[in-house]
Amino acid sequence: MDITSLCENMNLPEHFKLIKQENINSYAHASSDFNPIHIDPEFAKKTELGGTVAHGMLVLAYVSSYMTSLFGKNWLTGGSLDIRFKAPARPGDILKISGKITHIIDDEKNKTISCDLICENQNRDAVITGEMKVRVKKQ
Amino acid sequence: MINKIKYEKLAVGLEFPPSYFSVDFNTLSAYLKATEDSSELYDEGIVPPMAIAALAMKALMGQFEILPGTVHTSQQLTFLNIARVGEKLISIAKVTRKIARGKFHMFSISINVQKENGEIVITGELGFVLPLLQEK
Repeated sequence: MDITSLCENMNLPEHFKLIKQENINSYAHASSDFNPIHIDPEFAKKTELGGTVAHGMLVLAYVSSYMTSLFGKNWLTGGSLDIRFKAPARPGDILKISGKITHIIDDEKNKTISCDLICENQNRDAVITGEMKVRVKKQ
Repeated sequence: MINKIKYEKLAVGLEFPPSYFSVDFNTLSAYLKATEDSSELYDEGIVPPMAIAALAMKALMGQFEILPGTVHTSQQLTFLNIARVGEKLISIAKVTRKIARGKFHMFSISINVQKENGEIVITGELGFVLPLLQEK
């Protein structure tokens, strides 16, 4: 992303992600989080949620991965997220991650970009809301 | 077997015993597959910060009793330095808030992950809500 083109009130490009049970299962192995609400459809069906749901941290990983695609290494060494989990993401959901730049601080060495962030499903229910900030080093 | 700290014993200021872990190539590969993250940055053995956060959280969750109905409601994370495959990491966590509001309890835990040399990799705070327990 061309950082110099960013300005306040600008929208970040939208990013879409399909939630798949296969990925939830893989995430359970990678994170050692085997809570049956995520990976056991029969168990999950009997709970209030009525079916399996993605790990909140998996959804957040999608957000972070998207930020890495936009801001590269700057995200890994100067990114921050402050979010609330609002609703579960379920297999088959298509999540839209979007953001709007609220503030830019431009100093000699860095540009610090703040954004409102929302991740919503195909029904426009918010799954995650919050803010993100990234400090981008000037070349 | 680890004795988990009872929920009633969680008090503001309580520090959990540090957790030590590292990320190997198999875990990194599984994580990247699960998150469908194909960034070239990780070809060099850099570990995605969210993978570190997930493993630090997993270690933390093993240390205290999670009562039925507990929901992870909020997450704050700041990424400060890169960690690579095989690097030894230390996670340090502390209870920062515990309050009753209406029919619910809310508590927060701060978490710092650092390298052996003290360089901080990520810092953050997790927020939880759970239904207020009935007095027995």
